[in-house]
Amino acid sequence: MKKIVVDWVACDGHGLCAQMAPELIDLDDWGFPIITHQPEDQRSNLLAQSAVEACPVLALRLERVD
Amino acid sequence: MSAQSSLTVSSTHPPLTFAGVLSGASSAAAPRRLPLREHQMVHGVPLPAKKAHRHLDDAVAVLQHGVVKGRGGANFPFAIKLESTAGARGNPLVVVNAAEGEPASAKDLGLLLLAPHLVLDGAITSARLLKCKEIVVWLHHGSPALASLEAAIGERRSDSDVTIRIAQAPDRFVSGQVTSVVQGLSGGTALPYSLRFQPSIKGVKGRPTLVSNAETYALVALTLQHREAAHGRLLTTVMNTDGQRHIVETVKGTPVSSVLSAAGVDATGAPLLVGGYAGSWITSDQIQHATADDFVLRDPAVRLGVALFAVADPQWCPVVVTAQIASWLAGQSAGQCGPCTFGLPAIADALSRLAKSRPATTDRANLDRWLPLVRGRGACAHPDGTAGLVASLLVAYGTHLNDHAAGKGCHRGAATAWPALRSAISGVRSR
Repeated sequence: MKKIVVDWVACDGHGLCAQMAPELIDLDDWGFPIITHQPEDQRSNLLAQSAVEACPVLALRLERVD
Repeated sequence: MSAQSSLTVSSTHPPLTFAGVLSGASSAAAPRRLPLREHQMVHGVPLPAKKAHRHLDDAVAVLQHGVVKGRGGANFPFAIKLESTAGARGNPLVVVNAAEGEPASAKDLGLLLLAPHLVLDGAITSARLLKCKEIVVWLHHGSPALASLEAAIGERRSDSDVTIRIAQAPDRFVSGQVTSVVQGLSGGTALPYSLRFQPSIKGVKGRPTLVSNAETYALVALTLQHREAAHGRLLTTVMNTDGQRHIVETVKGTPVSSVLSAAGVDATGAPLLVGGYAGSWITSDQIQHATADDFVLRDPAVRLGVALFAVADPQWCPVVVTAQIASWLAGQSAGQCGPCTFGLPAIADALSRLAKSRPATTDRANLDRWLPLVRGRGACAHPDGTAGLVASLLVAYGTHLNDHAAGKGCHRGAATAWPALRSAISGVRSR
C-alpha cells in the first residue's frame, strides 16, 4: 500500500489536491492540505494518484509503506 | 533585559562534566575554560587514531549501555546515529550542533565556555570511529563561545588526523534544526527542508553526516571515559525572573527542586516553564513532583526538551506570558510551510486577544481546533513546539485562560523580563 506525503516546504496551498480527492484530503483554515484518510483500496489509490498529479508545484508524493 | 549578564555554574552532585572547572577553583574565583592539559588530567585522552574504527562495536555497546541520547531536545539514541553513519556509503562528516536555538537555554554555551575539550573529545572519538577526517562545529553567529572554542581547537594540534572547523549559523530559532544544519553546510540557506533521507545516510553534500548536539558529544566522551560514573549526567539551564541564567550540572532522576536550589533560585508559588520556550508550563504545586529526567512529569507528560527550567514571576499572568512567547515563536517561523507560516500567527493572535481579556468569540474554540492541526505539518518541529507550549497552558492554567475568554479581569500583568532574550552573556562568574 502507499501513503500520501506532503512536502510542506514545496506546498503553496493551491488546494487542487483536495478538489481531486476530497475523500482523502481536506483543507485547513489557511488552504493547506490535511490528509484525512490514506488510500486503502485500488479506487482510493487512483484518487490519491490524481491528487499527486494535480499539484502544480509537485508537493505531493505517494510513498510505499511496508 | 540587562545588556550584559554572566552565567553562573553549579552542580547538584560532585561535578563530572564540570570536574576541574568547579571542584578545583575556590568559590570566589570565576570559573574559567579548562585548558587541555588540565582537561586531560581529569578526563584522559580520547581513543587514539590508529585503527580506531575497529572499536566501533565496543563503543556502540558502551554508549547504548550508558543510554546516551541527543541533548538538543529530541532525545534520540546517539549509538543508533553512529551505527547508521558508519554503515552508510561515502565520505563521512561529523557535525557538532552548538547553535542553541532556544533563546533562554545557555547550557551548550556554558559547556563551550568552560569545558570545550569534552565536546571536542566526543567529536574526535566519533570521527575516528567512523574513519572520518573532518569535524564542523555549527555555532550561531555572534556566539560568545567563539573565542573559547577557537582557543580549544588551537590546543588540539596533536590530533592532526582530523581537521576541526567552525561554521557560523544565522542567529535564529530554526538554525539549530538538523535539516537547517545540513542545508547550511551544503552551501544552501540554513533553513529546514523536508527530510527524505536521514542525515546519517545522506547529509551534508550527500555525505553520511553524524549531526548531534554539543552536550551530546560531551556525554559521549564522558561515557566512553568514565563509564558508569557518567550515566545520566545532564546539563540544565535555570533562569530566574530577571532572565539571569544558571547552568546546573545534575544527574537524571534528581528532583527539579534540588536543581533550582543548586542555582540559588527560589520558585515558591511560581509557574515553571520546562524544556524551553517551545516547552511546557507546570504549576508551582507540580514542582515538588518534577524530576530532571526524560519525562519531567508523567501525568501530564512533560518532556525535558533542552532542560530549561524558567521560573516565572507569580505576578506575571501565565496567559499573557505565553502569548508573548508564542508571538515571538510565530515570528521565528522560517515562512516556508503553510501551517507554520499562517497557523502560528493565528494561534498567537488569538492568544494575545485572550490575554487582554478582549477575545473574538471564536478565539478560545479556535485554539482547541488549531493546536492539533499545526502539529506534524512542517519540515521541522517548530510548529509542534509552539503548539505544545500553548497546549500546556491549556492544561496547567486552563481555568484561568477560560476566565480571560469570559472577559473577566485579571490582576496580573505581562512579563517584565524574559521573552526573546538572546544570550547576551559576557562570561561566567561564580555563584
